[in-house]
Amino acid sequence: MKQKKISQKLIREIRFQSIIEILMLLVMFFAFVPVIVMLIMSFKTNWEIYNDFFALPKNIAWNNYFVAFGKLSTNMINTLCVIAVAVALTLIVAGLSGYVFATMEFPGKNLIYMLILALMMIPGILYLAPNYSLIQRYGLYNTRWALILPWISGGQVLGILLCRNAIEALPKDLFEAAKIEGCNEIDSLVRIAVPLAKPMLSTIAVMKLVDYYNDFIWPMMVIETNSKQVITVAVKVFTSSMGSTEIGSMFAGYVIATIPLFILFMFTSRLYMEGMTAGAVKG
Amino acid sequence: MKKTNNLWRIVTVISLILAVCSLVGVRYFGEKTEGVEDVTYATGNQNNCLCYDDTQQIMYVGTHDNFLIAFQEGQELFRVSAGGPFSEVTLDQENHLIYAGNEDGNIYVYDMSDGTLQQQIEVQRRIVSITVSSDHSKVAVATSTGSSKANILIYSTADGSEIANHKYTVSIAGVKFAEDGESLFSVNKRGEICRIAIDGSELNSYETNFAALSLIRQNDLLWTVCKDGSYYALDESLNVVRKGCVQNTVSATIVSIGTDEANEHVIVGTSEGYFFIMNGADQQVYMADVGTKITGFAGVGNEIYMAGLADLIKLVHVDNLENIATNRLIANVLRIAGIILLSVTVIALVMSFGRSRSYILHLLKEIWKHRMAYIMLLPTLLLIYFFNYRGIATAFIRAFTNWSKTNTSLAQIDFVGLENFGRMFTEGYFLIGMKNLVLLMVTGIIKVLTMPLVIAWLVYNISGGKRKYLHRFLFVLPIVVPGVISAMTWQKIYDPSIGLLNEVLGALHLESLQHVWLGDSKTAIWAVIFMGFPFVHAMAFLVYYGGFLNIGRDVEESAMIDGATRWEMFWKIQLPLIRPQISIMVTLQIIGTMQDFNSIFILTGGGPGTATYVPALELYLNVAQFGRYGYACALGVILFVFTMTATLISNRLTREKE
Repeated sequence: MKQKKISQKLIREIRFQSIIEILMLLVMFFAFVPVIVMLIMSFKTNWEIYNDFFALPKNIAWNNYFVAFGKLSTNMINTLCVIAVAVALTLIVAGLSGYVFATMEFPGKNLIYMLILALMMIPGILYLAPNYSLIQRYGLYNTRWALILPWISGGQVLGILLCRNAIEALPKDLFEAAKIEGCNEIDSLVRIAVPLAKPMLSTIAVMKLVDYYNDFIWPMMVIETNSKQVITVAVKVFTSSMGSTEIGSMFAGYVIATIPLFILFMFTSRLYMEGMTAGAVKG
Repeated sequence: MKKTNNLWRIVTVISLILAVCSLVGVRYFGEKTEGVEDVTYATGNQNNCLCYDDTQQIMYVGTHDNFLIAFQEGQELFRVSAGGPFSEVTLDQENHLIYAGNEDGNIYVYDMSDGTLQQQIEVQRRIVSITVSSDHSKVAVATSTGSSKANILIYSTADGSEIANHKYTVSIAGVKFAEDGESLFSVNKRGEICRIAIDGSELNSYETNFAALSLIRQNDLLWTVCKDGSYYALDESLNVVRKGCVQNTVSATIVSIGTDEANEHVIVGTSEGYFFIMNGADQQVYMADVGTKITGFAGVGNEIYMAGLADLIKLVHVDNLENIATNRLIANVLRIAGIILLSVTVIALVMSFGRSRSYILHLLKEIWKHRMAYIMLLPTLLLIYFFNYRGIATAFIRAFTNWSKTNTSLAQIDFVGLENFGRMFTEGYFLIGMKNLVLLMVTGIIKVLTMPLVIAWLVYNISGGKRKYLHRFLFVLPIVVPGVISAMTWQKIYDPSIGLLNEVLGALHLESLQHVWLGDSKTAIWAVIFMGFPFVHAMAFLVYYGGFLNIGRDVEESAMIDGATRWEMFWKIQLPLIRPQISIMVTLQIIGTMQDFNSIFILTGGGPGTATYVPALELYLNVAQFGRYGYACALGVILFVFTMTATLISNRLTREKE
């Protein structure tokens, strides 16, 4: 009797699991449709796309990738370099400020902290026009600093919050002991706080890298020269210039622009997901 | 004690006086940094050429939309219209006549003071340049038909009969009579400046290295500008008197040249709206952008009027421009000095009262003690000052001004009250945008509340850790496609001829449902909303999933024992417990929808027509394309207010339920 009840429960459980599995596979299939379209199209020639839309590519058209990479390689390298600098600077700035807010007491601390946090609630589009004119006025227009500086300024906000929380979670006596040993603030930041807050710093790094990589409107506004342009805008320009003549190469361009984040996700999926939710969970 | 108080009071007064002085200085020098001034009259048309009569002080403006308009003392005197754009206008002051070359192929001769048509000479070719001989007996025009066929035609002004017609195979940009009236100068796209006789024989020529784009005559000199930005001043025997080259650092396309009456300053215009000013020593002294093609100049005294292919006429004080850099520097130094002096005043005022002095001293001591903290915060503070708070303050103040791409300096910016806000209702784009925004907001909130929640719950209920991890991983994976790329892919999915959506419908024999999804104003906004199907918002999914994990197994197990089904458990236990996560996602969705227009920009660009406009897109277009910064700021302020209100309401709603 008891056994029967258990097996009934087991059957119900299996049935439940298979239903949700089918549901999830269905949803997953649809979620991947754009990715699948992108990949398949990128290997097809124009002729194949127009004449036999659903067929898989007969001969893999690597040429699409050569064309796209030829056009986008400089932008890709440029993007990665600019982002590397911006992420490094963001970490430094956020680390410094996070450390100050976590370990020090000084007049005006709460006011300054509130001013920083308030930026999370203020839509950035409010000051699009002032910042655009500021960039032009100070000769930053069409330089890479026009990307880096506003990026850090906005990117540091959540970084400071996360760094402060991470450093505050460390035992206080660590820093006191260091002070007694004669460490100054910079020493104890570099030697104690940074190594211990490394997991948080890597989360911030991944999160900001993804953020900066996804930026589109701002680079389009402040960068004119193609060699300094970031990949997202370059792909858009590339797409417009291709028209309907080289659809395969266009999709190859999309795939190329996706690869860096795909690699990042493969290697740091935990940090990637953590970074994605950090804003919502900890903010 | 009293002595120190008095000492501080003296400091207060002195620094206040100095501060006021320096601020007055800022105003004085600030006004002198303006070399380009708006004129008080407007044509309401696209201006093409200018001509100024100094005897009666009448400005004649030929427009691209077929009008010739005369202004006297800022008032419109008359306007006449013709069949095409007016390309060049020249005056015969002795006989009181205006000779106007028109692209409709006619030379129109008008009376200078009332605009009555005196004569019309048919040329039958598109006129690009016109000139009248100094004895007023002949009028000559350069015409163009196609890219390589050009003519120079000479007519008698007495009866309009043709005297000569010379054909050329290179397009001619300008023609001007020589002083003797028996020969003409012309410039062409090969860069040659030729002097030809009435019978067409070439008397003399000078060759530049690039295509010559414009030829003007100012007193005894001929000026021409070439494609590379070099310009030449030649005398009647084609000896180069002056030459120079603009520093075209913005790579703008050179189109026009003008000078002041003394032939000292040279101004070169471009089709992008940049203009360059060179002084008598051929050094570039000024460069600015008016945002529209600069089509013509008229030198008057030591000033130059400039016309742009829009409703734009500006007066350029060329001699002011040379000192602009110095004046600007002085103004800036004085401004900083004024700010410092003002703060000294405030500090001194506070210090002149014993009690507040001791408080301030204490505070300063504290600040000095903790100086390390401030130093370490400095990068953050500088960044948020320059790139956030300064912008926020500017946006709120300048939302009430006429700030624009052309009105950039403090002297040009004026308060216009609520005009920018009123424009939102009169122009109409904003109202269409708001309608779409509400639709996007509602569907966006529905999207973030349904699929991610369902998927998070399903993944949470998977048995087996590895399988669970794999599913979570796969549901998040599509997020690696950058948002812009994803939007571009969706654009291709909606493509009418090779888009997946129409192809699938075709394969299912549902051809009747096939549609130009993004090109039809009825479906476009829904296509934008449908983008991202099946809406497994990765961030919301992860946040909800984290919320379910936080609840803890023991709560569920005890509910299970009480006989609750999974369905009941979801509604009665899990959903109420993840309300904070839901609240945050809704808030973030509101903020995001308000300001995000990336996908609309890529999918439709706001079109077709205005069917998918949103306020954020309108804001962007006003900054990047129309240069109406003040209006953009006003839109930003409105979006800010809406965001704040919507966030507060959503927070209030979720809190009440708790």
